[in-house]
Amino acid sequence: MKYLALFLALAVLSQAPIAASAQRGGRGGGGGRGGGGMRAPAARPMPAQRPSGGGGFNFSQDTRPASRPQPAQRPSQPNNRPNNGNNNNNNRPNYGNNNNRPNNGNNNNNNRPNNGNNNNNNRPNNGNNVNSGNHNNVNVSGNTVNRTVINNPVYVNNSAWGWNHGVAWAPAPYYWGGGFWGAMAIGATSAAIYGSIVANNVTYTSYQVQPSTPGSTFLSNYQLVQVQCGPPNLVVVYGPQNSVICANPNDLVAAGNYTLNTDTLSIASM
Amino acid sequence: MAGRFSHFRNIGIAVAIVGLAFWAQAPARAEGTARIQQADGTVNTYHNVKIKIVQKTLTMTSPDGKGTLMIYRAACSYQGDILACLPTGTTLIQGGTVNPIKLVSGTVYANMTGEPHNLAMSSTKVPAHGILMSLKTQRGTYVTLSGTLDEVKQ
Repeated sequence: MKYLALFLALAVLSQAPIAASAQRGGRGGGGGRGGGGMRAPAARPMPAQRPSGGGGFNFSQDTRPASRPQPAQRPSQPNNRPNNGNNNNNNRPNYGNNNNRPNNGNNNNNNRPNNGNNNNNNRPNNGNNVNSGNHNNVNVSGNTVNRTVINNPVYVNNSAWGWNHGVAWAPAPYYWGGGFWGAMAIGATSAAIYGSIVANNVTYTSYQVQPSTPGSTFLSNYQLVQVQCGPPNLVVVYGPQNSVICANPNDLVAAGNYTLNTDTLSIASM
Repeated sequence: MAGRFSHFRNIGIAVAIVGLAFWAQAPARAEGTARIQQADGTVNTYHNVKIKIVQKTLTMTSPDGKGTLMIYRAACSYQGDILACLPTGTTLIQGGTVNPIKLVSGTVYANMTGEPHNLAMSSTKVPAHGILMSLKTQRGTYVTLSGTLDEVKQ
């Protein structure tokens, strides 16, 4: 009988934390069944700003309709870029996240930023272009185009996203370079400006690459040190979403213009 | 003496059975804490938020199960052992409707390992399977979330 009493006492004690937990859970119905309502201390009244729509999160500011209608006089194609020549639309090495810049060609490029993985923004293109991938010396309409791919010296197997533990990287809107070089919000970043590049009357501002970013990994892999863009004889790397950074040349990378393949974190000369 | 020892052993077994029974009844852990501050100053804090990663989508579900904020697209890269993501696509599923939440900026740090790790260049430690998140929406709402993952499904 004594042992039975001890057993019952232990059993009751073992219930105590769960009961207490249920109390903390407010009107949750107890016993770990996450019942209705936002959990609040039982002794406190419900906060006045609780969503009135029957629970969930309070995002009332974000879910209500926009207060202003869209302006009717907005141009229908606001993002046309200058095009002054003949152009094929596959202008640059395209490894998935392609960034095309303004073209000197007769081309109807409705190049609008996409929210997906394919951002077709046209890059400077004054002649025949080729989508060369990893090929060198591609002959296009009689014009030989040299493309030199410098494979990433660290991730030598050249597998997609090997540099990112196999996790695919895609550019994020609102960030310079899609966030590749750091979480620098477009137009609002306080990151240091690292010069600029002018191509076809378009100025591309460069910013300081942030540490612990894919961009810093890229620079580290190629042993490149970022410098201000502008002076000649630099390594100029065009990255995601019209971003550009510059670095001093070294034994691995000679001075010149390069495009960055974010899949493999490798570069190809332009 | 032997009989007394036998009684103690029986009690131990019984206690173990009771403990197992309660353990089996316990709900899945939902230890996330979310704070939502809107542009008008309204602040809501939610405890016991359930955090999941399913099919590369991060979800945080309110304690009552009636609202889920889903981050379905982000630019993610590893910073050491911590996965750092810049969310770009967010949706609120609540009250029978699906509302896109437009973001201005935000960062999600996920420790997908079973060991705690520090954030890069920070003394902040993210626990095993921990999540730290901060978002700002276009309407000026700030969302923060901290906690551990309740479920991960690839």
